[in-house]
Amino acid sequence: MMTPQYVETEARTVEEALQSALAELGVERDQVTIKVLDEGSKGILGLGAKPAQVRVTLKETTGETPEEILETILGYMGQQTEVRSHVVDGSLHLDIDAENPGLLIGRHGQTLDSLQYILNCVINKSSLVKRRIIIDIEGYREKRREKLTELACRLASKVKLTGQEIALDPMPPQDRRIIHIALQDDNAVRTFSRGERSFRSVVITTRERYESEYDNHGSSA
Amino acid sequence: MLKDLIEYIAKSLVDHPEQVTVHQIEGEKTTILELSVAEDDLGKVIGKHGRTAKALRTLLNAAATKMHKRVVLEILE
Repeated sequence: MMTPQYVETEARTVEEALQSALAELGVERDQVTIKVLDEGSKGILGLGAKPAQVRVTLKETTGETPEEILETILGYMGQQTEVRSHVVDGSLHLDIDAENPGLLIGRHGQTLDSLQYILNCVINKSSLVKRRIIIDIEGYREKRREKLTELACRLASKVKLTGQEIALDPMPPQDRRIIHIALQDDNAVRTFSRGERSFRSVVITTRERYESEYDNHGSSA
Repeated sequence: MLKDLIEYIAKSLVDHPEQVTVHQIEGEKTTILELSVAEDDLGKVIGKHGRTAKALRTLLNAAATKMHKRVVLEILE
């Protein structure tokens, strides 16, 4: 049986309704978000009395915080780490302080992306409100952004010089996005993505070629 | 330990953690981990186009590198 994600209960008072909801879900108060649907009223001499109603929603099924889950996973990977967290634009950013950052970042950030993907799966498994988690180690994501932006500009000059299109290596969506953004204000070139799933890669071409060869197909990022 | 890593993540991903088992087979150079989960949880540990399985293998390989080992993850159906 899957645990229900929320319950709605009624009782004489809000507090009693909340208690019975927590008992039904089998969790503590700090693991849920509470919405009072109706404050209820006692009425006059029992006339017109309305029960209080609350909706109690599970925050996370595991009861562990994202920080704790990440630290546990890293512990099993043999890494002594400290995780710091802050929220930016509604996404939770987790920064890892590790003794061996290279190992946790992996080739082109592969390991870091896997950690991030797994943690997002675990946290959002059954919460009603999906929350995005971004994991970083010692400023790796910012360094990667700078490196890709530099690469994009270099390749764009080459495209302008030769008039030939260049296809980059396949990259994950967030990396492709960096390339598109880096060149969006360069009016002499156009970028688009080609290929399926893990083979999807960015193509840089001249504006003229793009308009004559691709524009009518409606390719997009 | 590699077995604990997979067991912990698998249990966090599925709806039936009590049915998660990981069997470790120690070879000369290679360790094989056999993961089995409830039938309706298979999709949760494999993911769309095998994305979750791939991520699990990536994490395993990173952890194994430090221990100077090779590790293979088998998901049993």
